[in-house]
Amino acid sequence: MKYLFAAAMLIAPAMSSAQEVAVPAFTLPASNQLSEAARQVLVRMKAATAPAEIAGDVAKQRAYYQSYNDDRLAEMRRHFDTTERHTKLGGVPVDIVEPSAGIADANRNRVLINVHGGAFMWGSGSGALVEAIPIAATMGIKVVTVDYRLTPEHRYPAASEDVAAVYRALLKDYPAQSIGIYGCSAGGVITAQATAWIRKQGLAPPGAIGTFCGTGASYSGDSPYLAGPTTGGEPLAVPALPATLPTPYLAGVAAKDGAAYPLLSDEESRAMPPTLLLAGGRDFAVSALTLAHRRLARLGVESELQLFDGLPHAFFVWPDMPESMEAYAIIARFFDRHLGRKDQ
Amino acid sequence: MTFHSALAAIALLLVPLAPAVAGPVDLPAATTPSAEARAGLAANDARTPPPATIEGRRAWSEAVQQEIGRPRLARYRVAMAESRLAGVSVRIFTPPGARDDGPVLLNLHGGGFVVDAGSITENAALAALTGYRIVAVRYRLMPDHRFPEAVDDALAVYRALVTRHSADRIAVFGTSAGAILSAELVSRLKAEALPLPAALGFFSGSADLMRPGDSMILFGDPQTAAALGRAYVDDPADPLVSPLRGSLAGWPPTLCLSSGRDFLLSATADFCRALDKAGVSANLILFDGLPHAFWSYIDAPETDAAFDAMARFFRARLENGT
Repeated sequence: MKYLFAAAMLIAPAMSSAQEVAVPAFTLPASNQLSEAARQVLVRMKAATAPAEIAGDVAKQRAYYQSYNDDRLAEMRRHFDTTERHTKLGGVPVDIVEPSAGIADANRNRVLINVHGGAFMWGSGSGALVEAIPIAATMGIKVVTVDYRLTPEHRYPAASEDVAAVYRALLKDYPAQSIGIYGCSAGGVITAQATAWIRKQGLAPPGAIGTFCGTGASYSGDSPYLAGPTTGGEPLAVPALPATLPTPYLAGVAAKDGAAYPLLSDEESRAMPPTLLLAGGRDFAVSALTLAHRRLARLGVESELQLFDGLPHAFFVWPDMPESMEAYAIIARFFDRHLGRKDQ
Repeated sequence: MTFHSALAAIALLLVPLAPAVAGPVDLPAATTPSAEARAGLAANDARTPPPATIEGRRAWSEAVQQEIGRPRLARYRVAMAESRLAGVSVRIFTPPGARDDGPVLLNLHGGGFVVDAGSITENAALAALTGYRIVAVRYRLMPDHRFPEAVDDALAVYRALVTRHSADRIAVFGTSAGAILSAELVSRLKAEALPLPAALGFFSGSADLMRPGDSMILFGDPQTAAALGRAYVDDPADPLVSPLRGSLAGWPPTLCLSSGRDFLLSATADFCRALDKAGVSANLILFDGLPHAFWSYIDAPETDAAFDAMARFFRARLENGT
């Protein structure tokens, strides 16, 4: 009667969660929810891991991730056909990405702003296009990806100012509710920060935002501890997580600064437009996203959370798997539901 | 490595994933659960284990229901009545001010298909927070009964409810085994072209018994879960058993709710994405650091927040047709 043990498991927690738990070593197979293509991509991800010795050397890291993002961009171009134009908007350098098939009728009066990831230190150029191209092509919409100022040369709120300047420039041609902002990782953090910054400038809020693999909150919960071991990395050897994000970009900025950590503030969170949060189940940032989502839901803000089991941080920069295509479709559907239409 | 640089090493790299990994990790008590939640979990861990016999387990489970459920009924001033509907044993929960012509919720409790581990604790708070009457189906249990008998019982009660309430004033929900049954009931209603409920509450469940994902390995026991599945049903690929494997077109709006250390987290998140893909309104709410179905056996601010989220969802979906 083996199922009785299973039944007991379904009644009570499988392990004590009240105190610190020493988790024994075990072998974790790839999630059985993953496609065969995703399993193959995981092997390629492993091969593309940044060498440990470049950690802390910004010049070497930038060179490494430039090459990494160039590879991802080449993959994106095999899947999607877009045109890009480098220009300036509001004095800020941007790339404007449009689908070669043309902008969909429903999206003629809509635009998305992308805020690329890259640890606040890199990711412009190829990295930005890797995030903008799939959404422009999947949704049939113009995407403006912002080449914001990077750290360590610049500090908060430089990126918020740059995104807000682009937003202000777009307001000349688009109603606020028809503009969406999204970003992944550091770009997810800056998306939330810039939305609070826009409010601080007295501008109307965007119609919707997406904060993926990162949001305007400090790291919290289980995922920073679990993500290392479950993605082939090292355990996180700290007894407690810091109250603020560990990046030079936000050095000296307090967690109670609502424009820097809007998802830690009820006042700022309440003012957020509809928000999509999306991440892989093995992402170190996923716990922070789930907490931010609950705060938004509690405050009555329309928000949506989607998780992809078994996948790591920023998985959808790798387009060669159906899970990434599904993520682009979720993002497109979300903005389509929430952005103002041309007849409004 | 300093405190911050250790974190930064994780935070600042795109950490790739190995196909299979092993390594010890010291997992501290999660930072998010409240002191009350931790105390509640410790008290739950300290409980005398249930006896080995099925009858003993059911009695043990009912004692826990009464122990945790009675104070909740008192706190929320909700009346509970034992009754029968369409020949099926039910518990009916009536909150203060409930209207006879108001919306009604149909609950399918958890307990691994073998015991009743939730017909009081899943419903007391929710009846009060929604203001709706809840009918908890005490469906037939394994091992004497297996799929589709529990779904048959749920269907019989649902049919009885639709004679008195329009389907757009009915929501179906469940936790754990009850969430699995809730989705199976909706799948059955679709297959029989019966009117669908206005909403589904899918709380820590699975709609594809063949894809438990990472969380079953991280927080559960894949072998015993598989054994339970085999005892429950012969063909887990049947869309009447695993609705995610069939068409989800026309599925009612669904709230998915789970917790960060729940062995059914991956399956719950998987179903939410499948619904979104099918164009169904679906949302996922997660409580980091907490175990499977915590709201049904610990009292804590997170439990209150979980029932608040459920109640907000049901009210938003059922308030229209007055």
